[in-house]
Amino acid sequence: MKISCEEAKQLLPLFVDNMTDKQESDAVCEHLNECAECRREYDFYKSIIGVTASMPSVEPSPDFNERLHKKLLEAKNAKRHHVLSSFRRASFTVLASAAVIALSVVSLNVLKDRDISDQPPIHNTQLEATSAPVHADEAIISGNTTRAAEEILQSGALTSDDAEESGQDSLPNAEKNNVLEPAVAVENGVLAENMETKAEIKDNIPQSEAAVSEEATEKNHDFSAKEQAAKDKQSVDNGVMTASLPTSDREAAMGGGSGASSGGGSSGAAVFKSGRAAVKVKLTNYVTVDSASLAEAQKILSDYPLSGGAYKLTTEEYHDVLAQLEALNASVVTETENKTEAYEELNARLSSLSGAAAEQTQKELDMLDDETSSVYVVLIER
Amino acid sequence: MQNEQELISEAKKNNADAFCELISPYTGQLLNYAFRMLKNHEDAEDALQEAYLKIYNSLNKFEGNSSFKTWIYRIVTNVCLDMLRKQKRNSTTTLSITDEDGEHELLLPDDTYMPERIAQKNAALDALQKALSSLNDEHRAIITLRDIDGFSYEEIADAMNISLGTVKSRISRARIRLKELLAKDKELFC
Repeated sequence: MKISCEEAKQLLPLFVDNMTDKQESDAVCEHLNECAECRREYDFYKSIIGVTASMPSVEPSPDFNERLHKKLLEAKNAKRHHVLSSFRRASFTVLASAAVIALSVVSLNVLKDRDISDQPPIHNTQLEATSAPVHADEAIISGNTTRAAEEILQSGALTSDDAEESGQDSLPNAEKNNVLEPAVAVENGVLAENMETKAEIKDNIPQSEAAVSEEATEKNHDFSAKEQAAKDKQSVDNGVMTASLPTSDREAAMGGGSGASSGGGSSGAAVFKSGRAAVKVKLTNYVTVDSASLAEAQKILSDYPLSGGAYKLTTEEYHDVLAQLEALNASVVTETENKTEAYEELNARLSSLSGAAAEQTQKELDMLDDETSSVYVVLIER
Repeated sequence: MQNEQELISEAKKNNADAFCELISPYTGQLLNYAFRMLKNHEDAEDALQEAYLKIYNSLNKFEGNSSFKTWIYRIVTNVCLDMLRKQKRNSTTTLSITDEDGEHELLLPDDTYMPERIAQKNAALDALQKALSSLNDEHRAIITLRDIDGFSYEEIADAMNISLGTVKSRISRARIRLKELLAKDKELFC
């Protein structure tokens, strides 16, 4: 089967990987035998792949394993704490429930007995037996409560509810489960305890990540520990939060709040709510822009003097510039995210389609993929 | 030395040492993958540590339906893509902004591990690095998995949680785009 140069060039990226079907492969081979230009294009692809495969690799920093091990131990201790706390709470709940039910039974029996006779109430030993410490796996009081307690015991460890591990989740949603959730059915009285525990875990795990993130940030920001603390306090007091990466973990650790914001620009002596004078801090900010957006960003800054590679602005001008860059960023980011979401929705549908419908959907995917690849974004501040 | 299955079983019992031994053979490759994605050594290590923590905490969900390797690559891929979406960074141009109240230092990215520094000696590598950086995140990921990490198309589908058809079309578009970006430097490659 003879094919044109255009058709051959479309097939070459997969042909170099032997991923075209037999008919296509035969057609490409035949074409390459006859067309020097397409042969050169084929050689170009092979060469690019060869150079890509030889790209130098990087090594982990010397303390990588040590930091990881520390985090794993923290995670392990957090799990153990949760399981023990949950078990204690479950035991208490079962005990409390047992006592209440036992008392109810006794009370009912007492009432019942009083109704028909003068016999004394149920013997105390019955009450004592049921109010003794109840083990979750032995209690036969309330099916729901017991089941919850058993599950806590049997779960053994927290499992992340992040569906990405089961391959179910689409990419934009992969970030939503940064918090570990107890793998326990929550019911009635157990619900409150588990919610509280979830808040504890939420505080424990992200803090360790935020701590590492803070350490890493210091390498670039050249802060002393005191300056960092003062900066954070100042940022919080001013109602602005300077985000370290990743934003969602920072939000989780802080219990929500805005993401990366224009937290730059140190001022003179600010006074904290406590009445102490602020430490004058030296802030370090930079703005990284994408090369495609550089022209637009430079246009925003073009009114200001440039000297020694730095734009000199007053604080007011600085905030104004950041606001404009944020607006530029927001419009580009929104466009990218919308298209990425649309892509993933379509992609999820693709697996259930076949024939012409699948081909049409793949074409739509290709178009979206192509559009998102030409969209650039601007990082405002780090 | 225990085999991978034994290590997975041990790690599922919260054995941190077993977990470290389990992921140790993958660290180099995963770090480089994250580095290609995030273009920054520090971010790559942060992403990898975050991914390892996720893997450790969700190991009980790994049932062996896919290979352990593609499973962990999927998690690392998602962490990297999440970070990229949050960072929204696609370049290395840096502006310094100062105000009258204090001097703001020009922040230079840590270039100890930057490929640009390493690739100064090799113009083709330099050109390729720039071109890879200009690809969109998904294209960069797929080229890295295929041409640097040597994944099969099926492994890529598994690691990126996409269909085989999408792997093919995405690789095709990524390679065409890369070739276009490198067209002006063609003489360096042929």
